[in-house]
Amino acid sequence: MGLIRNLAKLSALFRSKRIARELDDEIRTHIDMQVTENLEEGMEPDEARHAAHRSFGNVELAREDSRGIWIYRWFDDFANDLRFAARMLLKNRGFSAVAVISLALGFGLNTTIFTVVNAVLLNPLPVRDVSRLVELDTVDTKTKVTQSKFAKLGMSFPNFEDYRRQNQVLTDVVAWLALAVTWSGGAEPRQVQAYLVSANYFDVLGLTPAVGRFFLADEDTQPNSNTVAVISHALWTNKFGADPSIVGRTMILNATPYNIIGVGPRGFKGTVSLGSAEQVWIPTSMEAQVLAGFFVENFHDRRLLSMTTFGRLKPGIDIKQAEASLKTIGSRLESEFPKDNAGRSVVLTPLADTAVGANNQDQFALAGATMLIAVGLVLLIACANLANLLLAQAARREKEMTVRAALGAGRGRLVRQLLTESTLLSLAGAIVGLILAYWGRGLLWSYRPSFIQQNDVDLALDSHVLLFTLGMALLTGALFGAAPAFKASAPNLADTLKAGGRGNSVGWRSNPVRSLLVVVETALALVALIGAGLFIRSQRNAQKIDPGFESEKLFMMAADLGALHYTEGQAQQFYRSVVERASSAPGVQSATIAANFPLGGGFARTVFPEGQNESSGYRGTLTLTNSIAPNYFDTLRIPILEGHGFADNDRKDTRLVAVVSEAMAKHFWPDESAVGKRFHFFGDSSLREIVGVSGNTVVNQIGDPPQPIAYLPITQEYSPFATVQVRTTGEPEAAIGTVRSIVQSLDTNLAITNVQTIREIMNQALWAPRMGAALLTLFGGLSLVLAAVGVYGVLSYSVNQQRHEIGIRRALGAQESDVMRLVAGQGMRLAIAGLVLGLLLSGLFARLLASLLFGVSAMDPWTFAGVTSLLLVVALIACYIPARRALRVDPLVALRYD
Amino acid sequence: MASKRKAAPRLEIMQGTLDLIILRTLRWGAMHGHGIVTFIQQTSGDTFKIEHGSLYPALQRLLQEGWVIAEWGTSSNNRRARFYRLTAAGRKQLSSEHSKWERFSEAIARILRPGSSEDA
Repeated sequence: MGLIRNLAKLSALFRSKRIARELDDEIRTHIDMQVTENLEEGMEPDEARHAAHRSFGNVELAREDSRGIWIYRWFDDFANDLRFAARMLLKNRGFSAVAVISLALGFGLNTTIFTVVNAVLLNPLPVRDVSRLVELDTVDTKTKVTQSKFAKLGMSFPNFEDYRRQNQVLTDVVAWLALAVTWSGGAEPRQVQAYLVSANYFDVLGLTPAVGRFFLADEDTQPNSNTVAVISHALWTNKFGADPSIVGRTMILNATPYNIIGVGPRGFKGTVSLGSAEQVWIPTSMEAQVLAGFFVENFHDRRLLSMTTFGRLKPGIDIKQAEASLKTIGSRLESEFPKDNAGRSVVLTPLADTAVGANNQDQFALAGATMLIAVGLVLLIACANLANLLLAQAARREKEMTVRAALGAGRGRLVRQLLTESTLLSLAGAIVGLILAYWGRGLLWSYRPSFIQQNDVDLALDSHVLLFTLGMALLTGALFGAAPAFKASAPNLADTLKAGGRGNSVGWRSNPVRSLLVVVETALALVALIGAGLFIRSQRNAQKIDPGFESEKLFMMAADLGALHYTEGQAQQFYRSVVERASSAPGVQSATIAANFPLGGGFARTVFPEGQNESSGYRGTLTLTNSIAPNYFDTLRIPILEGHGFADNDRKDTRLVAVVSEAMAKHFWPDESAVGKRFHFFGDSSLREIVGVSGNTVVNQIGDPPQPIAYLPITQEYSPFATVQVRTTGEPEAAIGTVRSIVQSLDTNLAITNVQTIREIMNQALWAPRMGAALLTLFGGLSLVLAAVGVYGVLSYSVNQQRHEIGIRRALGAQESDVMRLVAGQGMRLAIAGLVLGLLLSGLFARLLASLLFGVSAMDPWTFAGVTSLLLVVALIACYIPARRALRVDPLVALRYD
Repeated sequence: MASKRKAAPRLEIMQGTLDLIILRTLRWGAMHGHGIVTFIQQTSGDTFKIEHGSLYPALQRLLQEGWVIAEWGTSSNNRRARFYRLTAAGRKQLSSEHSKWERFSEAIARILRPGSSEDA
């Protein structure tokens, strides 16, 4: 009866529209009847109607009052449930605390990870209608790439112009290029993130300026004269103090004054989600002012894939149609310019998917998914514990439930009461978890990988995150509270009210749900711990990987001479001075110059061995190049395996030489020595002779297969951007300051960046295994504790239930060891079942991790064996304590116990 | 468009007693809202003024407490109307309320009756 009534009430709430309608019908009928009656009494029709309404009274009031009765009742009940639930939870402080804490940990971790994933992967770009924006990438079927990372390439500026002019499927196309410029005029020259953009950049994105205006359509057409700039909101706020008269102020970038015409909208920092929020946008016509060396010489070269391009789909066109249409333009361009565009076509990617770089998305997604699964495991275990605790609690409150049922509380009422309690616990756990997450995300963020170091990713606990957490909390409370609630609300009245109320419980048959929970918990703990073990080993392996050079006692700093418009002559002189002066600084063994720094990537060009070129149909290979000073190999301790390195007399007017990495030698000349062989770059007919082969070094990521690298003397292949790399005799930190002042003293206007030791770079590069190991160890440890608590709990309870039986056995002569074996045996059986299940799950799960591991097989036997043993030991301990307690059962007391 | 309650000559009914009256009315069988009101007015000899509208919140309350249940049916002049009927719990409630009321009115009557030995 009670259940039906309660269900009726609940459903009434959902049917309130229908109830309101029915009530209206009823009232209308009532009034009609009165009208009929009035008519029969002889009133005129109008009078009859008026009288009927008058005698009825205020219809609206009647309606509202009736509704009010339902709603009031519902709220009343709800408030009562809440109050009671809170009282019960406070009464059982210990239990509540354990539940809330384990839930808080589960929720907190989940929220933290989700915040990071949300910020990096899920937050859409703050532009208009982002789903209609697509990125255009070049794919090159004629050039081989040694890594899938290079599959989607940028667009050359002339090609961009053609696509923009000729296409039918995009409303407009934008091109941009990211670079760093030196901003001077302040106390110290500093580097700032800048973008060369076509004038339609902001229009295509559909943005409105916070202050001032954006570029006019023709403001990118006058080379070197469009000295206008738009600054980002963050730059305006942080560096200009949100000056309201910012429009018209001047900014000196790379020694050229720019007129600030506007400020970008708040929260917008370009179309890439990683990057400093302090940015400045300048028109593409200023490229000669901000680019240098190879880039500025070849900016209008159709071959150089320098720009990133995107466009907005026309209404009614979908991405597949657009891609097909653009591909036809691509083949047209290929036939028009066969040399530059050979084998090149275009692909489209939704702009939202390129937020971390079109080639990086998968890796981020995998890492994100792994972390979410790992924390999901912890949460599951916490929930299983919660369910266990609730069941135990419910069992203890059997008497109370029974009494309430006898007094007339419907089953629905009891279930609702218990669900309120479990949901309240859940919510409490979620709130504490959110607080943990608030602190935790900073900690997690400090473990982030190097290529997103200088980043203002907004780790806000925004609505996504809050919804996620609250949703989880409610779901958890309902889901894991449901089973215990149902079980508890149907107590066996007669049995329990009779004194005694013990079943003949033996082991798991009497507590199937709880036992199953323990088995599952143990399995999950095993999975988490195995994950941790694999990652720890992987991390250790990764740290032992030989990067190909000596990474200790080495530091670097970078300078962009092109930004200050150095001529090549001036730059080469600068480099010579740096090497000379830095080498004689105290603590320094040697100093060198290189265009690239370890793990910093670099500029890649297509290489053809002698005798081949682009027109013969041969596929050249995209190869990394590095312009270096002659003492580079010595300074970095990279071995020269064949031939020799560069010398001081390798200059512009002598023959062009190169040193190649072993991987490049093997790639192009697999069966012979590469020394003496020659090659050329695309579009450059001059041949370079290989004088030496060097050992392989890491290029992009630790653990990648060896990459081909072509080293060129900096005197023959000038680079306006260079890094100074210094080998020290003692600790690198000691000499960094000195060398920095030396470099700065050569030109006080120079912005010096990336000042760091190479060891720091290597550490940051190992972020994935490092973070994976740290996180999974944390999770694994937590899971272990929780699972142990679970086993202990179930066993304790079981022992309690079996007091009677144990007493009898003792009285009949069972030894201590027999009793212990009985009790511990029950526990161990559960634990072992859990271990088996866990091993099976691990087998499946580990396969997913394989791509994130270094040098460790996903099914590494040592890890599996080690973790299993650990769990067995812990399970034994967890069983031991209740077993000992069972011994303390006095047979006489037990037999008498009622 | 509120129609105000007129003061006397008719007496107003308090909420608790309205419940009792409705329950009592339904003792005679299932009735729809209009029928209940008509019955009350006739039986009370037109002493009570009930705003017909105030019936409905009262009926909701009775439904919630489970003392009446409602079902749709056809009225005497072939209209579709909602009929209310007492439940077993409602019958119990009626008798307990009835006895409470009798005790109450008896106590009041005793207080108001011209005194026996107290009066001078």
